[in-house]
Amino acid sequence: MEQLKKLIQSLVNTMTVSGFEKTNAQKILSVCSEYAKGCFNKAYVTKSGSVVLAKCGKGQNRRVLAFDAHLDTVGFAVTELCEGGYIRVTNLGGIDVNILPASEVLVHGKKELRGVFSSIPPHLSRSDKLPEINEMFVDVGFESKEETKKYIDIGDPVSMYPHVTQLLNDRISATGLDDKICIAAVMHAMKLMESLQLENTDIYCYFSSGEERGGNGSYHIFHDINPCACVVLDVNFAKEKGSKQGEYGFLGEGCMISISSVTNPDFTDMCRKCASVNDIPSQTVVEMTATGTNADVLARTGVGIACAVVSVPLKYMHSSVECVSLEDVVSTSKLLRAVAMEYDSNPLGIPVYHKGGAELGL
Amino acid sequence: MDFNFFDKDGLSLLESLCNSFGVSGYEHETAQIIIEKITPYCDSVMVDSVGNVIALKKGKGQGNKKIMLCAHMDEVGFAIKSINEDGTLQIDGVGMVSTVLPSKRVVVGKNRIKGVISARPVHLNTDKTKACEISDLVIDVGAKDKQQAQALDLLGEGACFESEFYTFGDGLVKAKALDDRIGCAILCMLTKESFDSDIYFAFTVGEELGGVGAAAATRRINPDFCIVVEGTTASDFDGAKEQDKVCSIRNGAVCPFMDGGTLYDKDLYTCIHEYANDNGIKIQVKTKIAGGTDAAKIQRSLEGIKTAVISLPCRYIHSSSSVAAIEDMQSMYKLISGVCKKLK
Repeated sequence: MEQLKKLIQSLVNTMTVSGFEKTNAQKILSVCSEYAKGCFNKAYVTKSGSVVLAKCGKGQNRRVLAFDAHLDTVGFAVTELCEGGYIRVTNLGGIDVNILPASEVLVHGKKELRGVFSSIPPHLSRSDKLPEINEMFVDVGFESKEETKKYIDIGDPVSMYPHVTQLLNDRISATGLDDKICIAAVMHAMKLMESLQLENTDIYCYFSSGEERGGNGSYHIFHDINPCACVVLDVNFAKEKGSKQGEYGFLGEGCMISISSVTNPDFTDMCRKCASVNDIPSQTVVEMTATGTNADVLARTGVGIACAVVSVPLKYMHSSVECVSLEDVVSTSKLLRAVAMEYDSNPLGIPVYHKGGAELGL
Repeated sequence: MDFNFFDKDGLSLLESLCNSFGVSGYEHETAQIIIEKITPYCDSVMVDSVGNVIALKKGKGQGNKKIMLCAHMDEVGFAIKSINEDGTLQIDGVGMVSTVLPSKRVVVGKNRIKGVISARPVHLNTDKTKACEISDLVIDVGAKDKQQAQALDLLGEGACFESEFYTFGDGLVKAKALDDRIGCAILCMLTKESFDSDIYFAFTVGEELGGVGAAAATRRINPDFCIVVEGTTASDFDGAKEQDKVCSIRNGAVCPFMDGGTLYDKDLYTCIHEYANDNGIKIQVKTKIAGGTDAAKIQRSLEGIKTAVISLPCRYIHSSSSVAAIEDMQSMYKLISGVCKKLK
């Protein structure tokens, strides 16, 4: 568990703000390889900046099972250097301005600089209306625009400061756990599979870029690794104050498996069965029209990929204090191992060829 | 002795004071640090019935005047009001606006349990322009349910921000509670100097509640003069109108003629400004009258006390990330030390 926590800390510490994830893709790759040493025989970064780690076997007619988790996190980019030495930023990915006043950030300019978002003190605030993000600024402590310019340029990425807080019950709070916690879960799963020899299946971990910008990276997954089936790993809403009935799972009660019209029903069923047969804590969530994950893209990619969506429940999504339970991470990893084994022996006939097959190109 | 805030000792004292847990009503930890620091240098040190730390350093002169220096120990924060079914904690705020609360780190209660303040997911947020209220927010310490949270004995306990102290940019400090640990730090350092007058150091409780401790301390001391040493709001933002800035960082100590609660003693005000100008110490007034301090309570005590305030300009005051300039701390320190020697 301590090792897993260290992995999470290293992943959180590595800036992968959406649009800038490529900068550190290599670092993510080495952090992951370090954690699951000897569990892979392929590891590389793709053209689009996605990280691939694969466990491939020998022989013909092997199928590719992919575990997709997205590499990028929400964050900001510098839009303006102001006269007073401040900078203004715009958000990359959905961020509620509510969380910004007094929040701490790291500006990734010529060097890493700490900064804080402005806030209006109570003695001066006159309305309960929130400012727009372009009306706020980040204080990096410099006296003038000239000084700021030496270190920071327009377009530089800005990330929320990577504080990791250990809460009770092995719960962890940090920024960017969406979706780094799933990268951790996949890596842990690979570790659990270290001694496992799969007969017919190659496992590809695909940490895709650009999910927070509409799943850019996952458009390339078909070209990059051509999977037959893909478990998309993301975070999902855990119940918190103000949650609407029926739109959440619960923190600490196991991984969440989505039922949705964009996912493959047989593959999803297989995941659910793997959970129940192996006594892995899991929860089912119904997200009919869209899952809000890469699966929405993958189902429409290439010749179509059979997807299942497995999520780690998370509170306070897209904030600097996203909360997860490590128990849920471990149950996710166990489920992935079970699914890999089951899929290896019974690939569900995905895709289904009722007659012929080869002439259809696969 | 010329104390310098640029040196490591001054900043590390300020750091330990800023990082200490001292929400209004729960100032004990901060008080302990102060008592430890000042006891070797003072003639008497006491904690009074409301929790103020009061110390006397006798002057070397004859027929001494009594000067009271006052800094408040308490900081803005929370109290745990109730425990929810899901194990999260419902909070009440002391001296703060809810806009700076979502998605911040906190420590809770006497066992200093770590927690975070919730933030609604942006995806589920229907009205993006509406600021959330404190009743929408909870502290999450990771408890699984109500029962587990109850066992932690947190009901009625205080909670304060967790926020590291660091220096950044061009000579700035970022920390929580600069208001008013800067006052506490300056008073602590002043106990090491020697004065002709009798100096009473009052580290007060409950300023953020409206000066709970200050009144009691003043009645005990009955000083000839009182200088309140504070942190005040600087809104020197880009684009802020000149009249809305209140004061600016890097422009020196703030000595206003009035604020939201007090019209300061004209003679004392003049004396302070003269001393600053004569000695080349940067000083500024407030360009907007906002906020109040312990001075309101002190001035109205007994038959009336001659009172002034000298403040540090702080950006983003009352949040987890307040920001101030080290050079302003230096100006303040020189000014207060000098004025205490000048007042006869």
